[in-house]
Amino acid sequence: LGGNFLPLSKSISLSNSSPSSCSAQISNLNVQDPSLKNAPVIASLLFWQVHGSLCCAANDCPNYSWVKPKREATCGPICQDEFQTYDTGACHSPGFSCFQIVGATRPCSTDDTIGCTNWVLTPCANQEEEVCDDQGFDEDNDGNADCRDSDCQNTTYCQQLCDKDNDGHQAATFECNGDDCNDDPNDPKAPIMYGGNTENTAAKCTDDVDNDCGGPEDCVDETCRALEGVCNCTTEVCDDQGNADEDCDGLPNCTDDNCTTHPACEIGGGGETYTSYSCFGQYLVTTYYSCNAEGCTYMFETWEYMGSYCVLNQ
Amino acid sequence: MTQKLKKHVLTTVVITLAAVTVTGSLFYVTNVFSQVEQKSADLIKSPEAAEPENKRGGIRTRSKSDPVWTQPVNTQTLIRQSDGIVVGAALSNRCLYSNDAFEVKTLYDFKINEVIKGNFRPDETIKVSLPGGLIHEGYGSMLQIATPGFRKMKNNVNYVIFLKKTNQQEFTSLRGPWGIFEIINNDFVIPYGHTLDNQGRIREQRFNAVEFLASLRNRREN
Repeated sequence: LGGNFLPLSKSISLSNSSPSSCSAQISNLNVQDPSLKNAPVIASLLFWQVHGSLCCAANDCPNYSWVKPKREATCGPICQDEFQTYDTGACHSPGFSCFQIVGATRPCSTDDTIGCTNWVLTPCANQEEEVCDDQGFDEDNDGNADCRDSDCQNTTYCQQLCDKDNDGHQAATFECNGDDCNDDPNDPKAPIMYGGNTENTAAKCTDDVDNDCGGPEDCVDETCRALEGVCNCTTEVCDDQGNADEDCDGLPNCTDDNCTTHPACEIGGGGETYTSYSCFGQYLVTTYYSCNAEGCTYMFETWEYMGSYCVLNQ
Repeated sequence: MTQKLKKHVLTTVVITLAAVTVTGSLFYVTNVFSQVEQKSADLIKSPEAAEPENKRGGIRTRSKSDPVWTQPVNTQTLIRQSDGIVVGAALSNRCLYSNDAFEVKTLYDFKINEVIKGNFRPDETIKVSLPGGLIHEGYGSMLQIATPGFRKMKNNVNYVIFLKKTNQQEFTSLRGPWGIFEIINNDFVIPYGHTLDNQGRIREQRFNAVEFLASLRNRREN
């Protein structure tokens, strides 16, 4: 995306021959490509449709194409309000020379059907089609590579990669971006574990399975604890041999905060696993250490995609 | 005779005085040093003296980051700037205070399987330290230095590391996580350095392991 930012100083006069699908207009364009500085004819033919798609009057834009929005973008630093605007995803349109609308500089209306003027237009960086099995390259430059890209999710390759347990749910891995927390084809419990499943019966609350992939399993899940006579949660016993989680908080024995001062939980008393948390972008990073009297060893860490910027509660 | 006696008495007095002075000085100096040592020992043994009771226990976490960790670097630069390039696996690791004692490092015993650059031998085990880790601070307190964005090596997993010498005994990875590549099933190579897009999501990178290693070996041969 080269070129200096060249705002057009005056409002654009729009064509009267607006297609019927265009119900709103862009009134003030900023163009990043210097070659467009003297291209008022293009700008004059832009219209802003409801929900942000753009279109041209028929035959007036032979070299340009815009497509309907493919994904939403939260109004952030560009569109300074709490409402959502749309990323047109214009660069999804392969084979065309096109522009991508990257944001608006004025507050959007509450329903995003009007407003969002002062669009910034930039030339598309990449107009290739996504190749779904090429090891993480994002050819169409939409931020989602391979099977994370909606363009790929119905391909045989992605279905084999992302639904190995054949339960109809995409694996909750970075590559697949689904909600199935267990997609292991060799685990007989895997097909009953997926996002959207329920964990609200006595049977499901005692099967050692996180049925709804919500994270907490069985009686650690609050839905199970709400069932009468199923969980029987009591006070944590810090030194029981069975390492049971009596208080149903998912933290047995010395890993439970209630056991911090218990003699059995003095550091150095035995090998213990510790977890700590940090954030990296939209990822919650959980780091696992194993400690004994001689010190601590780094074991591994997991990166959980949060869907929004991760913030740790201190 | 009288003169001789006077001289002898005088000499005896001087020697006695000198001995008393030296002994007293030694006693004073020894006493001062022992007091200093005792105070230091007290401080080391009793961190609770400086720390309120209610602050003891639990994991204290600090974050460390370096802009270099999120700045991508190309392989040619890594090859050029590294003190060594090796393929191998970490046998074990231990979290320790860093050399300045303010931070924590994770020190690995890294066994080399293949040398691509540098004065190493296959089967040699070297020390590789990476920033961050978790240590005991005594009395139930622990200190963790988190390094967001810098994924550390796991034991018994194969890596390609671009090494940078930190002292005579230790190496670290060049350009932080960008100098570490995990080899997955000999199929893929994943750089541990990550960049985020403007929505905070990782821009994933993955290379064919055979081609990646071949390109490094070719440069060695050239």
